[in-house]
Amino acid sequence: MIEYRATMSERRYNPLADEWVVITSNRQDRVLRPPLEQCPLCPTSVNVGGYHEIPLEGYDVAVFENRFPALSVNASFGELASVPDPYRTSPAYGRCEVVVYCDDHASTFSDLSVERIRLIVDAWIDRCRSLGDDDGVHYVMPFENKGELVGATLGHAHGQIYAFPDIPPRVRQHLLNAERYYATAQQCVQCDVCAREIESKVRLVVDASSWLVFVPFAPQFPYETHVVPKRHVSSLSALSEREKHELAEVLSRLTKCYDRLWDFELPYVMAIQQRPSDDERAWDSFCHMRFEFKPLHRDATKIKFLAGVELAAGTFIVDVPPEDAAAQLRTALR
Amino acid sequence: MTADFPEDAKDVGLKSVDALSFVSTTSSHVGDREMIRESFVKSDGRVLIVFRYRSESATHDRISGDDV
Repeated sequence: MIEYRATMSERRYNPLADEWVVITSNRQDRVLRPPLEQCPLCPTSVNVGGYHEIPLEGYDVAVFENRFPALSVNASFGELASVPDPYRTSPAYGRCEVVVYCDDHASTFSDLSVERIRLIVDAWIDRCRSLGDDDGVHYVMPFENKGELVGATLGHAHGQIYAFPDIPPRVRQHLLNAERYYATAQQCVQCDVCAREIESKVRLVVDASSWLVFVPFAPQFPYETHVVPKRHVSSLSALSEREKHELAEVLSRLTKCYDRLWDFELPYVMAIQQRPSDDERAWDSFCHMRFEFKPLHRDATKIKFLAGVELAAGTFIVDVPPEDAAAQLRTALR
Repeated sequence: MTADFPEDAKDVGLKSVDALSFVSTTSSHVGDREMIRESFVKSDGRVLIVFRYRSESATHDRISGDDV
């Protein structure tokens, strides 16, 4: 049996960027792409005698606390707690959970039934509510790193949920932008974006009754898509039953579409952006939830690497016009 | 242990299931479905939660031998 290791994570403040980073030494030894017969996410009926994260004979959707968490309720200040500004530190408080989509090792998200995806949506909502109730948690983000290319360390289909002690930098900036737009236009910026996409149609991939899927006007990656509720909804838990069911259908169609685009399982980062879990501001008025899918490919064989311009300057250069990418995705959708 | 257990959780007592302690089972209605949520504590203290719809596979009934 592999022993559980206590986390030794620490947050450090970068005064030049006005953002926090997490320093964690406990994750270097985590399991990396184990062979099928040693997959810790497979049920006991498949992985016989090995290490199991889910020691059951079978399951539908399972969620467990990450054995190698970057954020933890056991976080410590460490030795650097007393150093003066600008080198501030704080405990890397938070929670990290793993969401396993099914007990079949060979299945990916795109293979799942709409019914199963709907169950995952309900599990996300359950976990976001529970984690968000923690007074030390300010932002809960479900996400998936699909494929080795984007850093998935296990081949078995799964996602993760991070419960952050603050609002992460990119999310915070988007919320500030949305708040500023709302103050000027008295309108939600995402609602206005959806209206423009419906009107122009050129970047639309799916126009369902309650959801839109489109390539953003100014994406970071060539085949990036956003999945956005047409109604102004700030979080997963605020979705109606009809919206949740249609979300499962839309996610099924989109992930199948990505795999059909070049006839292989397209790696991507998927993340759910929603309102913070605290009541510090009137988030609901200007925060409009969305899913972001960011595949790294710029064609079937080439990768969009983040290099000098993106990493050093923060300016993304995209090789495919979003309108062309949307047209290709619409073709793959059929 | 960092488990979060809903206030309305039905206390079924601790049960030893393989390497797990079976803590609680709750059910809730999501639309026209009934979602079953089973919480366990693993041998190292971490929490495991298993979700299913009642209409889906009955895999876990045979594991817990219990239901709500």
